[in-house]
Amino acid sequence: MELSKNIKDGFIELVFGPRWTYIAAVRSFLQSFLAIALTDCKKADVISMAASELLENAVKYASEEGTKVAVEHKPEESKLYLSVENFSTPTNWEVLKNEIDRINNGNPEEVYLMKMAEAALRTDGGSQLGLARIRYESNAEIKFSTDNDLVKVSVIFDLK
Amino acid sequence: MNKFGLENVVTEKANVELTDLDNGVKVNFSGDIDIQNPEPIFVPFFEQIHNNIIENGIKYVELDFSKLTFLNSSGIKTLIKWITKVTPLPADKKYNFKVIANSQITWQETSLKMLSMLAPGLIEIQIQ
Repeated sequence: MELSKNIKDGFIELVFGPRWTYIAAVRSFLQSFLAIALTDCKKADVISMAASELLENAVKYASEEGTKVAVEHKPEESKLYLSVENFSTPTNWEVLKNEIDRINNGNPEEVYLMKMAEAALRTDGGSQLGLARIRYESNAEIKFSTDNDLVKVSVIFDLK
Repeated sequence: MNKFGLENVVTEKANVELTDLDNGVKVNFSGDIDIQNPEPIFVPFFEQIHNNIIENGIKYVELDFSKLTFLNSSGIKTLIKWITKVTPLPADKKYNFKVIANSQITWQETSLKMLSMLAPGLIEIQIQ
C-alpha cells in the first residue's frame, strides 16, 4: 500500500512466515495499536484475540511459508476488516469453507457450545474452536475466499 | 507443596499452581497460555488433580483465572476436557467448580461463561 495524503482509513499489513513465535507479538501489537485507533480497549482485545486465533489456524494448516494479516478501519462505515491470508490446499479449503458456513449459519452461542462438546472428544491436538470463539465473542461476520493457492479468511467487526 | 503432592506446571509464559483450601483445592492460572499444543502439558496435570479429588472425596475446586492474560482456544480445550470428566460422574462423586474471572480481561467474561454452560449446576462464575 502506498503512502498518500489525507488518509481517512487506518490500515495495517504484516507479512511473515507462518511461525508460531510471531503470533503473540502480532496480537500484542494489534491490541496496543487498536486501543489507540479505536479508543476502545475492549474492542481492541476482541479483535487482537481474533487475529491470534486466525493466525494460529494459518500456522497450523498452511501448505507453504507466507502469511499476511491485514487490518483496515473504515470509520465512515463503523467497521473494521481483519483478514489473514496463507497458502493452502483445496482439501483444506473445503474443510475451512464448510466450517465457516456452519458457524455463520448457526446461533453463535449454540455453535460454540456444540464445538466445545466436540473438542472434548478430539485427540489430535487441535481444538477447532477458534472460528466459533471469534463469532461468539465478537458477533462478527466471517468470510472465506480463495485466489489460486491462497486462502483468505476475513472477519468484519461492527464498531457501532 | 499442595495436599496432593503435585508439582505445579511452569511454562515459558504461564504458571499453573495448585494450592490447598480448607474446603477443597484452588488452581491459580497466570501469564499467557498460547502455545501450539498445550494438551501434553496441561491435560495430564488436570487429570492428576481430578483423580486426587475423586480419591479424597473433595467437593470444591476454585479455578482462578484473574491473572491469566491470554488463553488460546487450544488452552480452552484442555479445560473442557477436565470439566467434561466431571459431568458423567455419579452424583456422589461429582464436585463443584468456582471460576474466578477478571472483568478487566475482556475474553474472560465471555469464554469462561461458556465453560459454565458445559456443566450446568456444577460451575459458579465470580467476576471480580
